[in-house]
Amino acid sequence: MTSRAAIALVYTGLLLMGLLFISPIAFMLAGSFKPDARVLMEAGEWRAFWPAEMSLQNYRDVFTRVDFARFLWNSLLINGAIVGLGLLVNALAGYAFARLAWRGRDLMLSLVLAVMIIPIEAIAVPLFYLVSLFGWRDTYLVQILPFIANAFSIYLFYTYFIGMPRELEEAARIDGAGVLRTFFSVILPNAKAVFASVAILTFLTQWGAFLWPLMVTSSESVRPLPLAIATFHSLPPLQWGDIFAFGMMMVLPVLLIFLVFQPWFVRGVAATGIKG
Amino acid sequence: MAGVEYRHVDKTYPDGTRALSNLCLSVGDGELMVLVGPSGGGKSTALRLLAGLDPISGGEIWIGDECVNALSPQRRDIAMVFQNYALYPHMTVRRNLEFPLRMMRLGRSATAARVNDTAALLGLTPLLERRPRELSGGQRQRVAMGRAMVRQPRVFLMDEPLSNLDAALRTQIRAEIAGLQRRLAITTVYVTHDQVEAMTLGDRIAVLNAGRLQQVGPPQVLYDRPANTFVAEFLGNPGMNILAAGLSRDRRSLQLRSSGWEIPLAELPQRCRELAQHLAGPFLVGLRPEAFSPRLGTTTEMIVETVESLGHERLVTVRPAADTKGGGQTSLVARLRGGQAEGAGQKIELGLDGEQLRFFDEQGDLMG
Ligand SMILES: Nc1ncnc2c1ncn2[C@@H]1O[C@H](COP(=O)(O)OP(=O)(O)OP(=O)(O)O)[C@@H](O)[C@H]1O
Ligand SMILES: [Mg+2]
Repeated sequence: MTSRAAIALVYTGLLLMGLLFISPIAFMLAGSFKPDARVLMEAGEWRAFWPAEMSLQNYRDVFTRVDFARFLWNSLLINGAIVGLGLLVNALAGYAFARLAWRGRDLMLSLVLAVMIIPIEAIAVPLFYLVSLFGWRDTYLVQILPFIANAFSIYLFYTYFIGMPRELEEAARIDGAGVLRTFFSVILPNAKAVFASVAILTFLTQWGAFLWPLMVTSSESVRPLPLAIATFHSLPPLQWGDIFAFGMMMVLPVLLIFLVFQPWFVRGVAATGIKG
Repeated sequence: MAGVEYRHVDKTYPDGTRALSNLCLSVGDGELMVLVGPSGGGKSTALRLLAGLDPISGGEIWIGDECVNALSPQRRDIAMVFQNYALYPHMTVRRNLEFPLRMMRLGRSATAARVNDTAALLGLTPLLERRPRELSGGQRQRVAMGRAMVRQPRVFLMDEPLSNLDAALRTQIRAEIAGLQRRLAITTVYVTHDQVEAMTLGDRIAVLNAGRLQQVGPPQVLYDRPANTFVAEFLGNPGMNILAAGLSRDRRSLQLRSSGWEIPLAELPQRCRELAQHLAGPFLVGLRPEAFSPRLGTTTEMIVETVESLGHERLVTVRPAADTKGGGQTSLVARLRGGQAEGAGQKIELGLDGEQLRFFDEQGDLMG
């Protein structure tokens, strides 16, 4: 076999894999534009992926049947706060682990690493009692606060800062900047890549959060999209087209976030001004 | 402006590495002191302690009339040029130069004036709006110098600032640094492992090895009268030849052991004769490569091992013809000029200039 044929084979394989993974989303996208009756009717054929008659009716229905805007706002607020505050807190923590000398640092770092493997499901019940005790149930706060400090994010920041040339910070210290000033004026602008990665990862993992919001919220006014789509699903009449439209609108912010932060991956890496 | 003083400074790193032991060194106001020594000698450590980047384990460091042990780097009023320049990659040259002034909260117009002056002085004016990655190595080096100078600090610290440049540029910028330092008269501590840089640049040189100060003094003094065999071998390119030596049984001639060289004391200068009279056991003799010459006093036959021609002179490695074993220990390097170039394996006659003989005791310390 020539190497050309081999390459063609590999690409065909990859293409098929890609199609396999993208097909549910394509199905959802196509279905969200179809009248409800056709969604199931065409499910078994190629037209499943092709809306013959385009219509935005399903999207309109979502807005009239439930207060979609409200849920979207809740999700954006909660996730925005988790990502924003998380970047600040975890970056500072990672920096403290990487660069500041303080008593008990190494012990704390191993603790953070150990905590990384504990999933939310394992601590959900005791955490539930704790927040109930504080009277925080059914608030935004209870959906934000437990997820700001994040062991994995701290670890990502830590490894990035450890690898940054020390001289940059030392130069800033000598030039008269204090620790925080050094962090914000010199470290942060040169660590955009890790900030972008952490932002995307946090957003991706938190956007679909289901168990915890289900446990701690009861009113629609603070509930996020994943709970809303579950309720929507069981809201008669069962309309697959509407559910797909709902799903599409839920996925869209994730794509947007990715597009916004993605260029920073590349730029951050290319921008080291240190010679060597 | 102020002098710098290390008083019995010790440094042990957290992992137990002892990087400096009892360093006592004072740098005069406006002086350019070069710290030189082999890798791992403790030069950077000495500089970092002075900058306040690492905590000191023992002793005191003074800048002017102030003990700075407890001061953080930003309160020491020093500036530093790093080996890799450590320019802020996300800032333009102008912003880089402004940064220390902004930290001082200098007014806007004063900041601009100082940045422009410094840029003009270093020829950076056309580059002010560029970022570090858009500059050549030499230009980056200049920006790093500028960022240090713009502050008008009490002390300049430089850690191998030229080691990332090519040879021609290094010579040029070395001269510029010397000129600037003299003009600004700012106390400077300059670290290098390059002994040529040390010799040409320093008002005084301090040689550090394994965390200990070996000798400090003006370059010529260190070259002519090295305090011990370490300094003797380290300074000069190549360094001094150190040979085991003793007196002949009748105490009338100097024998260079394992080289078969025997020089009648009568041929040596007065100073050497007097010194030799007091010597009992074995000792060491040091000879600079330029101390050798064909046809000079009592000559000895040598076999040429290698010849490195530098154009105007040749570095000739020789071993005594009498010693058939060969081997590194008994080889000498001689710096020869003029005449015919030697070939490897050829036999030549070499004599030596007694004026240039240095005597060291068995511990390697200079005698006389
Ligand atoms: N952060 C550190 N932790 C532990 N040991 C260190 C640290 N920094 C330096 N050392 C050790 O201290 C000794 C002196 O190092 P230093 O960097 O001062 O040497 P140097 O003279 O500057 O060498 P070079 O010419 O290679 O730069 C070396 O043995 C080195 O391994
Ligand atoms: Mg060093």
